[in-house]
Amino acid sequence: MTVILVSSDNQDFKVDKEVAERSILIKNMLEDVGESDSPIPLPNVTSAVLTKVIEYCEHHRNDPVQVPEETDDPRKRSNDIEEWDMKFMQVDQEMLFEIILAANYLDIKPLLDVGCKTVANIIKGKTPEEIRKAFNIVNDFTPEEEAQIKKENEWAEDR
Amino acid sequence: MDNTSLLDLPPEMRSMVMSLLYPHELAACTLVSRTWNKVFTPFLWRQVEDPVQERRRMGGVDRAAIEGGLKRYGAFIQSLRLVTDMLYMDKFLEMCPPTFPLLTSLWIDSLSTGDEDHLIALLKRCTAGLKKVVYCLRGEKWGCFEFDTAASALIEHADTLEVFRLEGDYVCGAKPINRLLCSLHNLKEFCILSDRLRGRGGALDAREIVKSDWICSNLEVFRCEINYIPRPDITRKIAGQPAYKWVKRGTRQESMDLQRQIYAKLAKFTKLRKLSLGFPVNLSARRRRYVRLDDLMQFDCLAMTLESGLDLLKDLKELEEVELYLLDFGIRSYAEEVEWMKTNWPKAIVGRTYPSPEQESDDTDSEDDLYEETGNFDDDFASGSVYSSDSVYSSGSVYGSDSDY
Repeated sequence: MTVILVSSDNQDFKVDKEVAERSILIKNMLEDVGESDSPIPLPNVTSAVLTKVIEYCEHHRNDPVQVPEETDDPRKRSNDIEEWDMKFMQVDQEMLFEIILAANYLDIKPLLDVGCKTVANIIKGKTPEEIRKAFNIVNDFTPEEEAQIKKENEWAEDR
Repeated sequence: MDNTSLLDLPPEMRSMVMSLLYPHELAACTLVSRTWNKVFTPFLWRQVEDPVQERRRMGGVDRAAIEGGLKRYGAFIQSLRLVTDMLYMDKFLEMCPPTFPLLTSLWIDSLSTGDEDHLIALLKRCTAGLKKVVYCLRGEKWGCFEFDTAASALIEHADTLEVFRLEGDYVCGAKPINRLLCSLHNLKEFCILSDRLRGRGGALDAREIVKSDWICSNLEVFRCEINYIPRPDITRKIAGQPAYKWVKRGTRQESMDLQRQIYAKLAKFTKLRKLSLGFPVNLSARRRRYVRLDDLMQFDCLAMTLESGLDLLKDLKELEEVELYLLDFGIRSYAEEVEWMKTNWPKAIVGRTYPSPEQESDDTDSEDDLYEETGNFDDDFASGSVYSSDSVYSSGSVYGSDSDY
């Protein structure tokens, strides 16, 4: 069985129901409407992003349902990204954030997790200057302000 | 397509990313730009603690206090783990904001003598109501922290407090400890650890318990010694002396009555997962040539025998861990109790201390056995291990004193 998803720019995507149901939002919608072949509009997702999201869902169509380990320190898990996911996430930053937003809207928890981990990994191990470069941000601090913040947050530094 | 970046993500997704970063990584982010600073600073200050290394923690929060960050950002703190000593506690309070409106978890290492008032002052500033309070008082050189007066300040957090743990170099009377159980109605974890080797800690007094009404019915973890129970059933020689020199005196009937009332109180904790009435001792912690087992044993404890009323605890089906280290429980008939525990506490692992029933049944002259084991005990000390503690049954696993907290 297939369902038709319609992106914000009015493109139709025909996908297996099983794949579409990786999205809890779509799964719930399908359950609500019952047997129906009417297309599902996704006004918050562009076709470029939807293509990526479907690619992810296709690859993970048979994954078991994830049980989150609440007790774990999430910081320790930011490196455990599957190889395929890692490659999948090698996109420009704008796309990366669009995927995160779409994963959140469509309620695809594993994709949201991988997206957030990818962003965190861009920050990890970098100096403030390197982070600025990575995110294309201009430093608008005065040297005095910078020194002040450094002092205040010194307790957190990795010594 | 709009140009989306990290800061344009909705707050909950931003938080997901930030929760994957360690404090030093968040600190780097606060230096990126003014906008980033506004977003990352509150998140960085949510959790002021560094669980990674002792060395780091020692430099941690005190320094922040000195630099004045605490006053500006203290209001963001939800969880504070403070490593301090008496020299810094004054300074810390000076640098603190007048209140900590979001603070719900407070963990203090190494408070000591003279800090009692500072602790009370700090508790009063936690206006949100504390959920978790841990005092881990390690400061031998400074003496001993007296917890009694702080108990009242703690009780002011009764509506929120779920976890309370006290350990290390402190002393506390039986009355304030008992009062906590009568006041902290939301408590899930109650841990009053004592160190028999160093004569530090606190315990509950059975005579107080029977007069009072414990109201923390949601308790899942109970770790505290209970003492002042007469134990005429203990008749063996203790450390070469007649038992009456060590054992709390009273008639058999008095002993049984008192014990039944205590079991009845404990029996109300039907959600209990961990029950510790005695604690293992790490002998390597102190350089002492020879410690007799009997010097550390507790002789005025619950006997934990069916005869004394153990059966009243039959409904504690959730029990996973039971610790009876250094308690002189009713050894004589223990095999029966082991069976009972297996049947009634199906999930529990019971940790206890020699003398074991096997060794006793081997030889009718049990006193000699006891002293032989005391010798082994000394050997254990030499090898620096936690001294001979074993599991009453099956799995043979012994848990360490407190690693799981």
